[in-house]
Amino acid sequence: METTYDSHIEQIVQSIFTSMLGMEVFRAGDNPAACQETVLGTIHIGGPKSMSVVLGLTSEVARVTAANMLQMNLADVTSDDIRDVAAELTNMIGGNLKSLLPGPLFLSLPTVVAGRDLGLEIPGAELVEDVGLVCDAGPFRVRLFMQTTG
Amino acid sequence: MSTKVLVVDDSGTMRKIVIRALNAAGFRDTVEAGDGAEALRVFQGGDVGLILTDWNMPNKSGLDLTRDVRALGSKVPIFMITTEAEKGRVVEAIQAGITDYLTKPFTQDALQAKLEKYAKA
Repeated sequence: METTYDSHIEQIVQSIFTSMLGMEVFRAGDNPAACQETVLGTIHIGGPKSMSVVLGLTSEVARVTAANMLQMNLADVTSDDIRDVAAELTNMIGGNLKSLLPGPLFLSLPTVVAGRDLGLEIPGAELVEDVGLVCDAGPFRVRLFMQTTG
Repeated sequence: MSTKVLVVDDSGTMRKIVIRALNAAGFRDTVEAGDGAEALRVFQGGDVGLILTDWNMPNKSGLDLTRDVRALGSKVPIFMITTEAEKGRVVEAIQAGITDYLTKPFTQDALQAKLEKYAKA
């Protein structure tokens, strides 16, 4: 039977947003592609089953999550704050997902890119989960890619 | 509290969150390092009474920092704050010499409660 990770991802993100940001998160409808991402955080889980976790945030979600996590006014949030918070959120999602998987597995450091019309390709990996979520600030996504080639 | 606390994390966000909790718990004297290598240099500068460290960092991990600090003969409390939640990883950290462990995500209250233990010590 094929393993699915979407409910794990949903629960992990809900736990992070509730405890660290004081924000509620719900599963979005059927159209996560409608989310216009301007910040992408990526982290890799290495081991027998290598996978990559990608957190995709709209500019509004990125700003609000940064403000909430750092307890700052929205107007004072800088692009450095946004990148750093997105990296930490990605790190926590990847780390918590790793802890649910059979090991030994290793977690990379997170990387973040920001911009418009971001394309995303992870060579040798296929998309296995695309979890659309929504918080007060709008929609966002978490994608999981599984390595198919060495 | 006059204890100097060394906060080690490659994430500036996490350092801010931890320092905020430290201040709320009564710790005023904090120093920061962005990785284990920088932290070891700061520690060897002297006077650090508590270390709070992440695990996964560039240059030197929190685990290697712990081993290095213990190899120097120090018994300073080392508190690890990390996403590494698997039992095997926790055991590895304890064997390396950590004193306490908190997995991310955490609530501000949970972190503060842990820190208040050290404030009373």
